[in-house]
Amino acid sequence: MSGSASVLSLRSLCLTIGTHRILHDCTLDLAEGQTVVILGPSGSGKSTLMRCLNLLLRADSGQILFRGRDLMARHVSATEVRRMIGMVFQDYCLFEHLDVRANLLLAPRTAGAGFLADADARAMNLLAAVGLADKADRYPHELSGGQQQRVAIARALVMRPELMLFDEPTSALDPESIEALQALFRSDALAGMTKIIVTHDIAFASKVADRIVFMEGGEIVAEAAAGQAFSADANPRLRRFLTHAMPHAGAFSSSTDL
Amino acid sequence: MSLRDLRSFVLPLLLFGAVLPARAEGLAVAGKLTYGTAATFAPFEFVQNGTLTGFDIDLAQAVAGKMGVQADAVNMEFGGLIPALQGGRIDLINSAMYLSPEREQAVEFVPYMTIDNMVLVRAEGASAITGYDLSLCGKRIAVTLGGIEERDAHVADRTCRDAGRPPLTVLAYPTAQDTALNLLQGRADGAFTSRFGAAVLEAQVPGGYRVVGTPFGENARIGFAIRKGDGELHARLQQALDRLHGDGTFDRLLRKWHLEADRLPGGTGEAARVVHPVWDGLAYIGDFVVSAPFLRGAGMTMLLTVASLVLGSFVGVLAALGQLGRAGRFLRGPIFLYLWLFRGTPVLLQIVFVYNVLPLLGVRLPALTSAIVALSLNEGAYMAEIVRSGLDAVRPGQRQAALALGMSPVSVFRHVVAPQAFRVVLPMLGNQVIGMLKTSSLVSVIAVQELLLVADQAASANFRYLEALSAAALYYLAFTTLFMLLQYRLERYVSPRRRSDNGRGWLRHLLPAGGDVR
Repeated sequence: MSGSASVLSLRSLCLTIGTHRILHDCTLDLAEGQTVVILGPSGSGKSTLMRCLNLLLRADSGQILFRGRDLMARHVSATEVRRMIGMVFQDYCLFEHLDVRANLLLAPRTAGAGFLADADARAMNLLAAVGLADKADRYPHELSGGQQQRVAIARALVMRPELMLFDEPTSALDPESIEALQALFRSDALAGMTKIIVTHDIAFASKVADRIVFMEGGEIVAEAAAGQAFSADANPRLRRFLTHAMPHAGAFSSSTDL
Repeated sequence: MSLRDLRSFVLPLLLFGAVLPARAEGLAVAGKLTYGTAATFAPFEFVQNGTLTGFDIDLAQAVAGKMGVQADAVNMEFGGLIPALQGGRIDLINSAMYLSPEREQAVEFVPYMTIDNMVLVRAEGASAITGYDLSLCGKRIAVTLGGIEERDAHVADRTCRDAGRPPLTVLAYPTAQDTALNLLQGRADGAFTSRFGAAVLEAQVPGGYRVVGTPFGENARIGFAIRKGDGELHARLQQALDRLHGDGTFDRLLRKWHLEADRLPGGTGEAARVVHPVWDGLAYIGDFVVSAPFLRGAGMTMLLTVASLVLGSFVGVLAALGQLGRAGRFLRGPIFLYLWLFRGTPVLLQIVFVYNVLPLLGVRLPALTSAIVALSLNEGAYMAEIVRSGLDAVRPGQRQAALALGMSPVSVFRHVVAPQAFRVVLPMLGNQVIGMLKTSSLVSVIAVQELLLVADQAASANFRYLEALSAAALYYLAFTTLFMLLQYRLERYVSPRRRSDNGRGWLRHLLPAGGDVR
């Protein structure tokens, strides 16, 4: 899965809001087709880092190189960047006033001719791919959380992004929906896609990640291939986090037993 | 005698007007003698079958003829006359205006008639009142606010107190019609009115009123009012009046309107009951509803409502959006000032201001335009707050999600934020529409012939208050129902939740159940 040249490279990304240091010197390389999971305690800057990537937030300094092009450069259009980088929010944020089909088609319809071509067919194919072909005429409030999330994924994919960002994708899902999401990640729709996932859910991370990045206090503290991260010779701080978060996980078992 | 008040709200504007220099001499419209009149005072000026008529109307025609110009009437509320004169809207006031020291501070009079007052009681039953004497003590006497009768009533009150009798209760009403009506309805024991007004009442409401005693207060004069210092017009009016006296026209008009000096009302005898039968009333309502003035008035009310709402929404959206973003930093101050001014003052004041004060500052808008401008600006101020609350109600995630999909900020606003905000504000918008429908009746003060003014004038011509106001009410209710249905359809259209909820019929929407908070 991993290998080849970097799709995305972060170079010394920094962000300070007021006197509060949110991100500090974040540097990261992402290979084509890789799934990177960013772990870390609440307030460690994970979600902020993700929002800097698609320019919903603007970092103070550093570079975001996407296929060699610096997205932070002045002349780069944020709108264009966001069409290349899809994002699925923690609470899905489906457009409440539109039905499922219209949710998928709104962005292509407003983005110009290039996106409009066979957008309808693409949308229906994606709905089928996430298993919701029969819900095209439903409104968000009529769907379950898991269904809403799959619509949100399809809505992002319809713009044909080259990179997908997932913010806490499992935080509001029941175990069955989490399993369905893992299956979706392995399916054709998402398997080859380069993905960054921010999560607390270590079990989920261990199933989908190629690489694990650990953040704390706005800094990238540790970084490892998935297999290595969950083994005994991982970074000590990461090990401590994994132990706390998942006390029953194999080699890291402690006194507490669930 | 003429007998109508200057409402307190006009006074500040009036004082403001008084300190500004008078406009350059000359007529408001070249070749035309434009005069203001409040046509609710028969026989001097009133509306009959949709047409303005009366002694003053004929007199103005004759005066204009002698001056070699055309007479042009602007019919408005009495309280709006002096501001309209000072704003240069009209050349003179021709509305049986009684000369009082207070008015003479603001305007200059060209008097043309002296009239006296009489005491009226209900024809039915016995009355202890025998005339303008001590029999008035302890009684409730209806007079017109600001008129000379009010002064006479206070003189009588003092006389009673000095004689050790119980004082008068003076009930002051805005128009002569109200005075007469309140006497008829038993809220007052007696009323003071002009001798001519008494004659008209006896003719209009046979068997309703009875005159007691003899005329009193003989030095009350009425006249044309012009702007102070308009010497040229004063001279020309006086000259025209002199010539009308000279050639007998003036006496002919007096006879035509039964205003001869020796004519005394009373003695018609026939004490027929004045209560109109119900079926008769219903026929009247029907006639009013389909009459041309009512149709035009209803059309005008609708036009005012729709135009002011559309423009007001536009202003409101601009004022709400202007506070956002980078430009907002500079616009927030002026917008706050606008909201503060227009939400902080009565809409009636704003209407009078636009119509009567702006001309003094060089901005002269026609009456209908003034009405729409004032109503729109007022509406805009409320709408701005509504729009802001709607925008605030859209969850930030919705905007973020749309941006993250690569939609341009303009698209995000148009396709995501605006539709959702609209859905939130729709119920409040419905309130505004219905509120505006009713607020539009206030523009009668600047002579815009909307529904309520039409109804008031129709009623004052024949005392069919119940019928005329019922006809107007029918129109208002019909419009309100129409707007509510429209709102219901729209709410269903924009709200998926409601569209899929089949349990709520339109009737249930119109008649919300108890506890239904809206």
